[in-house]
Amino acid sequence: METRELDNYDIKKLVIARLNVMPKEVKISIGDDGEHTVNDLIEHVEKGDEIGEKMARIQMDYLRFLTEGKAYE
Amino acid sequence: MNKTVLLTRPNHDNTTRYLFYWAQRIAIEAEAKGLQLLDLKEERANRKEFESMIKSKEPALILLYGHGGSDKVAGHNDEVLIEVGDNDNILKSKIIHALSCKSAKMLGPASVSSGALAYIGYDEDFVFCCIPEKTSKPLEDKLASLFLNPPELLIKNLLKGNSTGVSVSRAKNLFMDNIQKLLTAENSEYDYAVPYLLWNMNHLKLIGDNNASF
Repeated sequence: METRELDNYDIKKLVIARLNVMPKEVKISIGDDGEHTVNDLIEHVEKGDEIGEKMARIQMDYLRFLTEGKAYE
Repeated sequence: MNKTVLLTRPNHDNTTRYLFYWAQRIAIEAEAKGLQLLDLKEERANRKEFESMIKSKEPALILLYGHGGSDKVAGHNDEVLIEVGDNDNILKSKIIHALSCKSAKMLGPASVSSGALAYIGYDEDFVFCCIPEKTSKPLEDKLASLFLNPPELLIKNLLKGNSTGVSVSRAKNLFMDNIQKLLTAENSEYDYAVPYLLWNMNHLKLIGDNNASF
């Protein structure tokens, strides 16, 4: 079974903090799931549903990319 | 060599509206190059016309814009155009690019197994950020352009006759250029977009022959 990022409470807090830095007027289109506001996405993360988990994967992939030093290669 | 391109571009919600206008730039480019363009836009992006055009005109390059899933790509009003185990065999001998979600997960490998030369798409959701006040003029949305320029560059490379491998590599490089510019700029307006650009770059996949060309 795949590990869920949002099962970790600290990751959930981190992902919400990352989303909170986005301007609130920006919309994010996520395929068939349609367009979302930043506040919608934060709600999904808080609920820990599929969209929330996707946001967590996106943000955690990014943070791992930074820590691996790949951004400036 | 058959120089016919089939383009599908639905326009029924905000996401497809953005894709529709970006695809229009590809249509203009293809026509400027003197290619035969089969432009299935809006209501014409339906399964009947899609299958009919493939059978009668035999396009060598198929460009799909629209919603999708791991085993399918849809057209206008989300009518399924192509689906694994149903009609994916009509992609035989074609090069396909899908700006659509997840279709490189199952449809890509299945179509290549059925004889497609190469399938380029995303094995996860294609995500993009946009600015609501630009909805009426998607091509003026600088934030969305960070996401939509790389796939556009990829397609332009295919239209030029570059190989699938080179075309994908150039698109990934542009994603990375956009990421690095946002990370290194002193006052980057859109640096919050980086995680989503990285996601798209990592999930852009080429299945099949990386030397295939149009």
